[in-house]
Amino acid sequence: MNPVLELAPLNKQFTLHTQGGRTLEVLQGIELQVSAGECLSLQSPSGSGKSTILRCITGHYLPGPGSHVLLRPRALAHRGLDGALIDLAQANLHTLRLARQFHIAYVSQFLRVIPRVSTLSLVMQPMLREGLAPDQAEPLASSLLERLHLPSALWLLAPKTFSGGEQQRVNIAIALAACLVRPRELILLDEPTASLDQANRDVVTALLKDLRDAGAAMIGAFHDHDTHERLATRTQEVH
Amino acid sequence: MSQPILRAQGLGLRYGSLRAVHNVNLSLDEGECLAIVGESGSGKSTLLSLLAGQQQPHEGEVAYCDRSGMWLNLNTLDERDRRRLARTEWGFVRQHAQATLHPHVSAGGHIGERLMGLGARHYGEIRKTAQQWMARVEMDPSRVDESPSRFSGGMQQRLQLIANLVTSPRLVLMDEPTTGLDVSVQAKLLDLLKRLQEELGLATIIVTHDLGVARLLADQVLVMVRGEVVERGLVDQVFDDPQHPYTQQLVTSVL
Repeated sequence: MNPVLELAPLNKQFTLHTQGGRTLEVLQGIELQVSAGECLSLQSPSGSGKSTILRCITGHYLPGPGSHVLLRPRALAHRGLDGALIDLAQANLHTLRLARQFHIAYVSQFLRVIPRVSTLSLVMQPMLREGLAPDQAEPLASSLLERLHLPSALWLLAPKTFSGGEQQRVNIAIALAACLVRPRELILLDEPTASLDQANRDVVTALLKDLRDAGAAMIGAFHDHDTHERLATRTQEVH
Repeated sequence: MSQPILRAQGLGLRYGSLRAVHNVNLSLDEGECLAIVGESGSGKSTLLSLLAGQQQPHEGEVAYCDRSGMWLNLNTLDERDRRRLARTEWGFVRQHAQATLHPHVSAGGHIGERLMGLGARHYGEIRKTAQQWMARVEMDPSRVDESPSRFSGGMQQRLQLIANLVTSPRLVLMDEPTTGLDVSVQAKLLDLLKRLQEELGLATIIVTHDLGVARLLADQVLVMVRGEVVERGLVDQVFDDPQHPYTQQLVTSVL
């Protein structure tokens, strides 16, 4: 099967102009592939660049010279990309934006949202952008929050004051909300269960497993062994 | 959806020997928000006026794709067509609302002006539309007949905004729309802008020196230094992985 995503290769360095122009070589010649229905687990000690790999794929970080980040998107009618193989490392902003909006879901490590918007609205927004009417999005968003064991008393509050574990689940709900309306072919996971207790880890893992089995290609950085065991179909060392 | 709406190529303008804007290229999609950031005097506002066709560039060109899907070169467009576009397809929001609002014209009068420019004549309908828009941006509709000079700075800015939005423009250009407002007022106005962008599918270009504003509203960012674009990218890329020394300095100054 053709991979959904291929790094061929990925390089990344950071030049710190405000700190004497020091250059940090973080990633050199990383190569990997992931296909539909697979979950590739990146293994390496903290600080060795797993998050950087994920952020270079989403375009939060600019891939370094010589990088090729090849995405094979599903063709969508009327919007999104047309199904041709694209190199995200060379793509223009228009293409990058479409790739991110319609083809890639990214669960970041930390929740970063406007501190004044309610949790329910935050989860509904990606669904509305998918074209759902508010009265369709609301029950769908509610059932997602319910599935993630977020107490309904919190839904109308902004997540700023929530506990770490609650924020992490809100973050997951926002990142995956659009996938429930229309699946994304690539899902990137940066420590999705890091601050969760066992029970909540279970519900998150079950949700992710469903998306994987429905055909999403996944790349994840998992610190806890349990999540790795249950989700990963393949492991790759990163150094 | 997501078709290009505005393109600029090799845009340049000199004030005497000073290169106010030099070799700027950009492209904006329907419904997309572009933020132009940079310090005072970096050419942000000059660039905005070039994009709006309010000034003619010395080099390069700006093209706009209108509702019917036709590309128009703003540099060769005659004045009448440019005005028609300005009334029907664009909005322009300035930093100082007072400069665009007349103390002797009521709030409703300002909102109705653009509608009447497009041929609306029924006074009751115009007034009703004005009040609906006021309610939509959380202004008290019963104040429709008051002079704008009696409104607070934040409310004046809302008034200026809806006086533009009432004719459903596709592209709104904003020059420091939240600068000079109290922080809490600013936050409310930004939330409102964000909501309207989503609801109306507006393409927006916003000039700001406030990175928080850019992060909240923009999809795409241009960073200007001395008239040149030193960095252009998706908003989180520019702020999370800035490449140019100036952008790195800018980002570390905030956080």
